Amino acid sequence: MNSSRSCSLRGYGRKHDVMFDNYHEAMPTFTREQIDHLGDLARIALSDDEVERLQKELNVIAESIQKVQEVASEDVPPTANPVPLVAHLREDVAVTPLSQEEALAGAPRTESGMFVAPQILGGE
Amino acid sequence: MASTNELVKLSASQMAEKLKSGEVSSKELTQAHLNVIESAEPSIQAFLKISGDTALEQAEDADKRRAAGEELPELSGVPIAVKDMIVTKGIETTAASKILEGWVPPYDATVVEKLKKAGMPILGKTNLDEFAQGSSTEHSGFHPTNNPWDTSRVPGGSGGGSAAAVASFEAPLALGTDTGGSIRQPGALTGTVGVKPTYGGVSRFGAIAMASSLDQIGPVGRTVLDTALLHEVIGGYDERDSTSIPEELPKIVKAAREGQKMDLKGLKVGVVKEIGGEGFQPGVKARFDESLTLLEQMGAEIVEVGAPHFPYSLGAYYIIMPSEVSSNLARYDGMRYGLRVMPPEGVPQTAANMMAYTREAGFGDEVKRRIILGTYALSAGYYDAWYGSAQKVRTLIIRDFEAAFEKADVLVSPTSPTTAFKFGEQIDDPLTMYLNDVATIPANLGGVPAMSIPAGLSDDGLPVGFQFFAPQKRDDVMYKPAAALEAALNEKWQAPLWSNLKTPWLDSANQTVEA
Repeated sequence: MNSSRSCSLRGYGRKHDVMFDNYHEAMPTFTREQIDHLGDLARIALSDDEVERLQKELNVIAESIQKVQEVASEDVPPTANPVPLVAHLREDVAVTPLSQEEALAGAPRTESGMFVAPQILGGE
Repeated sequence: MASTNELVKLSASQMAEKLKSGEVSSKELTQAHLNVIESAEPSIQAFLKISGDTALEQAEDADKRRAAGEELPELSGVPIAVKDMIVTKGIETTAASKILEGWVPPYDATVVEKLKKAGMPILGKTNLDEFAQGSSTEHSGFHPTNNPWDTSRVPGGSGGGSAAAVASFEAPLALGTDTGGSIRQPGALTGTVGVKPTYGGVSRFGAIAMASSLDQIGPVGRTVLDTALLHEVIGGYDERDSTSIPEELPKIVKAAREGQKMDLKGLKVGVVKEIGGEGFQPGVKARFDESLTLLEQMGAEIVEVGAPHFPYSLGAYYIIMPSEVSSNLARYDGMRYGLRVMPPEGVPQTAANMMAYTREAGFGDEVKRRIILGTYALSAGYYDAWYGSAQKVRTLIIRDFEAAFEKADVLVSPTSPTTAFKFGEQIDDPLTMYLNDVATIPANLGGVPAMSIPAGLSDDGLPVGFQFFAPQKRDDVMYKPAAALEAALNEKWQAPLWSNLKTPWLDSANQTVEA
């Protein structure tokens, strides 16, 4: 583990509205605080160096992609799937799923046929 | 009895003929490629994993099936390499990421099942930019891959491993995945053929998800006919992929064979005005223009078409793609498979902290960059301005394609603005790196099929790619002129482009294969 920064996973979402207070500006500018917060949201314990580098890079990238808003006018509908398809379901026929052993084969820790997770609640 | 070098330089369809006539067995053919892999890998490094033993078993099985008189597809017995973005049961699959190091999938991708059913031995798993994110294969979590044309240069990316393996004769065919150009741009930079099928034309079940609305598996080869044959093996409807098109594939192989007759009378070829201006090297433009002349000489009518929203596609792509990446890569949480890193002492040993430290240690720089950008683009209050706007641009790109295909049967452009660049040249400059895909991204946003074929060497002696686009679900439409152009270029050069490639690794690989 090369990160010197202690990880502070705040209750995500809580600080959301105040973190991005430049919403109404034409171009977003990423601050260190915002990158930190995005790291928390994305569950990546970014190191200080990474936060600094990402701040610079994302500002350059954001500036270049902001251009899409020039043509994204209200009368244009959005497209999610480029090839329109009607949702279809497969035949309702039972198939053999992975065995318990197969499903657990890649797990970092298992016990009695289950995944072992670190403590979920408390501790913070 | 044939020498390794003679065998591996054949096209896949020629290999198939020799297998059919009994002149060579699949085991011999597979062994010949394993010989080349052994001698080429120190300088090329196209593979992350070589599965020689299972490949030979699969080859023996293919030989038995043939001997038993089973009706087999044309490519039966021809070996293939698979990009490590596609899961293979029992063969380690990592997406070139430390976070999946050592993971052995308990199931096969649909395309891998189809390869096995067709009797195509799997030589190994090829290198890529981590989770297919990059245009040079320098972002692999394990090692870079070298371009066979100049080992101080990148093979393109993300599918640099598949392209380099095919270019260096380590494999006659390979599978790739293309989200923004990851099959076609490496094809251009290594002088090989790379095809991105229609979105939904080849099942994505078992392709490790990067950006689900853009990802597409496709064939890599040295000839247009070879990729067509492979396209028909892997394509078609799959009930396990909800975006799979529930229709028959068009007649792709037939179209490629038709193209080899070099008659394009009645075909309208549209040159996309918006691709190919500033930033495109003169050598790339020169080869593109020469190919246009050849198309015209074969009877095609060349027209110019406008696609006014294509200049916005790079921006839309760099919103949609990272957004989908941030969502798809949330699954790497250290719980069920892959890496787990516990927090250091002094930090609470919770599941949430474990995830954060696992992802910090397991993901590389480019992947983190995209996850953070995508997390921002999808966050409440920004979704409409970013993701929403990008999806609107996507509509405009699709309309541009529809309008262009009213004026032309196929569209064409250079595949990549430049030839292969040197290692390190662009790695610290994400924006320059992203521009590599400026000509390939519109096809992913529009869901249309597109392919790159070699168009000659630039003034720096490095390969240039020529790109064709066809309308959705009409992949056959681009195979015909692609095969025709390939034939015309080979006639002009009196040999395929690869005859200019220096292959010192083949000298040491050359030995007689036991019959």
